[in-house]
Amino acid sequence: MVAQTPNDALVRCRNLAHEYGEGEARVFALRGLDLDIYAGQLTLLVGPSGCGKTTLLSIIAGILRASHGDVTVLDTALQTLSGSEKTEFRRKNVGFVFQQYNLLPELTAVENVAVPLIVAGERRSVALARGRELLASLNMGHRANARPQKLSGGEQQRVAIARALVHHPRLLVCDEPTSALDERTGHAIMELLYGVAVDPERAVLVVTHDSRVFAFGDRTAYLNDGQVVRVEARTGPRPAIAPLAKQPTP
Amino acid sequence: MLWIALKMLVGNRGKYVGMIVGVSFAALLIGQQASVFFGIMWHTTSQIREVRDADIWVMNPNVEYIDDIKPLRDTDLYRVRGVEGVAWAVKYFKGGSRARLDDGQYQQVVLNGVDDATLVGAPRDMIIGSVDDLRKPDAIIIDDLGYRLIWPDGPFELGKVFEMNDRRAVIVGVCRIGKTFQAFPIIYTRYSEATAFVPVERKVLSFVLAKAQPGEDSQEVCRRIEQQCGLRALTRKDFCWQTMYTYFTKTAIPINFGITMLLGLIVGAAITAQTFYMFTLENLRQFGTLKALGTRNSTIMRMVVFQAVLVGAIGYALGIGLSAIFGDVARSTARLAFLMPWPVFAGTGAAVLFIIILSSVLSVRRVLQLDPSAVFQGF
Repeated sequence: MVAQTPNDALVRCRNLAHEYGEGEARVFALRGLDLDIYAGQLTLLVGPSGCGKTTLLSIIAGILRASHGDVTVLDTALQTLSGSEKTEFRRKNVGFVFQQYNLLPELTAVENVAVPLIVAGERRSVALARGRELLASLNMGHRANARPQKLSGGEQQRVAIARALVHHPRLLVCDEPTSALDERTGHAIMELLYGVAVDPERAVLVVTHDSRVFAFGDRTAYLNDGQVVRVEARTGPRPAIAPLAKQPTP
Repeated sequence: MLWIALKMLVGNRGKYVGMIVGVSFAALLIGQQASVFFGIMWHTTSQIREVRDADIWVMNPNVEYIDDIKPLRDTDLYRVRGVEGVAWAVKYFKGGSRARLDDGQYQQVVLNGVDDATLVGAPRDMIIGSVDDLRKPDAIIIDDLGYRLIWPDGPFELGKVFEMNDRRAVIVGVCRIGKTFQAFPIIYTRYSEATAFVPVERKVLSFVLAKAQPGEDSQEVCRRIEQQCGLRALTRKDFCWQTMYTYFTKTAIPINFGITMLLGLIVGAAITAQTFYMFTLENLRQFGTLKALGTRNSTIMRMVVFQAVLVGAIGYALGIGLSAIFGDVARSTARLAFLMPWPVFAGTGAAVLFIIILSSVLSVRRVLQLDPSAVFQGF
């Protein structure tokens, strides 16, 4: 891998702090944290429960405003954006993968995948066609018309990943994507995410407890008590995983 | 995005049906009770509307409605005839009497005495017999519902006899008239006969029925009659309104029906608003996910309002439709007062709109307050 400087970072966090509650009940989730996340890499955020991983993920994804500090994503200072500007920013640039998949149970798999495009104002027929193509590329074409409750956990997570990718976001944030899956399925999901991450234009940020997936991290940031205590870069070769076939840009 | 809102709504079948049932129930109760109320109000004016020949009713200045009989002097008829613009004026008797039936039973009846010469005020829709037969001695015409009240079985028969005030009355016709507020049989006879069917009183003239000359404005003629005769004169339409107004303001009818309608509104609103709110709470994860994915608050609001409006529209259609079916069935099988004019549709619609607004406001507020970062906290 080529050595990277902070200027190459897709996400830059500087002196980031966040607190919940007030007065006696105030809890510091992040305490002056610095972190860079680079495109073309899969970055893992690991650490014990309550160390601030999810708070950091939410701030970087633009759905939570940091109490202090700066976070720059794709050269945009998120703390300067209004609520509606952040919504717009997320819609264009961020894909989400959730621990519990968060698929809409009333929609079929392909309809779920199409949601971000529809949110962006795309016509339904076009969005569904793109969703179908993407599901096919993830070997889920045969399940396109199934509702989430008819899908296995691994299948649901594949649909969720397709939904996160369909609008070609530059940043993919994943919250414990394998923790609800068995080892084999979790491995397959991480392979899929890794295939996405090798795209040089995109960064993938994964919050995880699951030590089984540590091998997939190009960089691993260890958090403790609201601070990054250590960042490890991969020393060995990257996993031999074929990149995901490129989808047409909307 | 609205198709997603639609899928979310119909996907949760139990709640979807529950909300529609809530709105339908409210619309049914409000629409049905309002229609019965309007029906009763309409029935109070039935005997005014039956007098189709005359367009002006002249009465004692203290009379407030059709059954409020305060007699006039006989000379008042001639005074009315002398007013400019009056084409003709005739006597009209209205009162109550007791019919003694051949089995010795008594039945309260409403007695209408029409002008002996012209028969103005006589019924027009005859089922059996002829209006002209009223000119025969002791002749009366009875309404069909009244006939059935006295003689429930068998076909209508002419020549049946009963007594009123110890005088013989012979049925020469059966007519069909609009249902009245009181359920008593309605008897039509000549004025001279009618005054004999009731105990003797010094003054017996209930109303003077008049007609404005062609080209004369009835309202203006009424004003002249009031000015010159010191009596109260109302056009047929105004007398209907005056009668309904009196029943509305001086009886407990509107309060009773109003309470039932209010209960329908409260129960319907409670069921619908609570179910819709619960539905929204159950979908918070989905709304949160949509917000995280970049859906604007305004879009989310439109989705919630769309769901509420859809539920309201379907519930309203079902409720008002069931009201109409109820009215149609009940009218054909019973003496139920039921009328569905446009204010019933509009009023019920306004009530449903209130329910929908209430439901939407509660739900929209909850969704808009939702922090999208909650999607990472497994809410």
